[in-house]
Amino acid sequence: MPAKPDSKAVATTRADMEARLDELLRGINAGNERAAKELHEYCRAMPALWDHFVGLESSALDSWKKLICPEATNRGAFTRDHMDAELDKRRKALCADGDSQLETLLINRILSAWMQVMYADASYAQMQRQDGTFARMEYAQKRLDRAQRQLLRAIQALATVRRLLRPVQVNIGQNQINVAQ
Amino acid sequence: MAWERRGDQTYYYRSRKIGGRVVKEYIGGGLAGTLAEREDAMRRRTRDAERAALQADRDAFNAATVAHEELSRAADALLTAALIAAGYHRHDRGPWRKRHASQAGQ
Repeated sequence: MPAKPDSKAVATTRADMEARLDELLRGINAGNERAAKELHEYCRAMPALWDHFVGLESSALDSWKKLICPEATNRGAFTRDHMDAELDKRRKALCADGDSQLETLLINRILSAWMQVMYADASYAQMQRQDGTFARMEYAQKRLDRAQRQLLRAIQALATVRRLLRPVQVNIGQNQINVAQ
Repeated sequence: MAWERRGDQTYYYRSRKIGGRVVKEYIGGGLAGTLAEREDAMRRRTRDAERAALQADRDAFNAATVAHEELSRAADALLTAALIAAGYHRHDRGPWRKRHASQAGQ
């Protein structure tokens, strides 16, 4: 009978992996090219690593859903269903054939940013209706501006991937040839 | 806001800030003072409740933003890693450009 894996050892490895990943992400965002290459290799060598990123996607989307319709009432359930349908519609509009895991991640980032804008916009409008003070209106306006900037950045990132990392297709007669990756 | 003793009587005063200075406004004693005190207490409660609601909204928004920012940070890093691996580079946050063949080894 094979020996059971030591759960503590697995946890340590996972914790180590997450710590290293965090270090790499910080390094890349600070402009370290070597860290970028290492992360790329890391992702290719360990496809399971994407589970970690999928976790981040669902955590971000869930946190906005909870914020927008928190109560477990019929109305809350209705709003949540409506939001899920709207998210599916937008996801379909953004998806393309042969999307990579990175593109899926970027699409979910756009959806998360879109929900952020939706919430910030709604709370700004609500504050306007309630005749909020200048400081509150300014805070709501800044929050909305920041959310819109983040949405634009998320869209820009997906556009960059689609423009630079997609294979270029050249049609010669009936033949379709992918010339670059 | 406070009751202040003047001789044998107590009178209600309302304090407010005008031009950066605290100015005390005389309201009166007896019923007038009691009514003003109740009104002030009600206004204070409403203001505290609004402030608490606003703070709760800020906290909830910030908590949700943390998850989104973590996702954004990871997505940006993965995008950078994929582009660098594909031979692109960027100078000083400018546009991504294909590395020249003579620099490819660097």
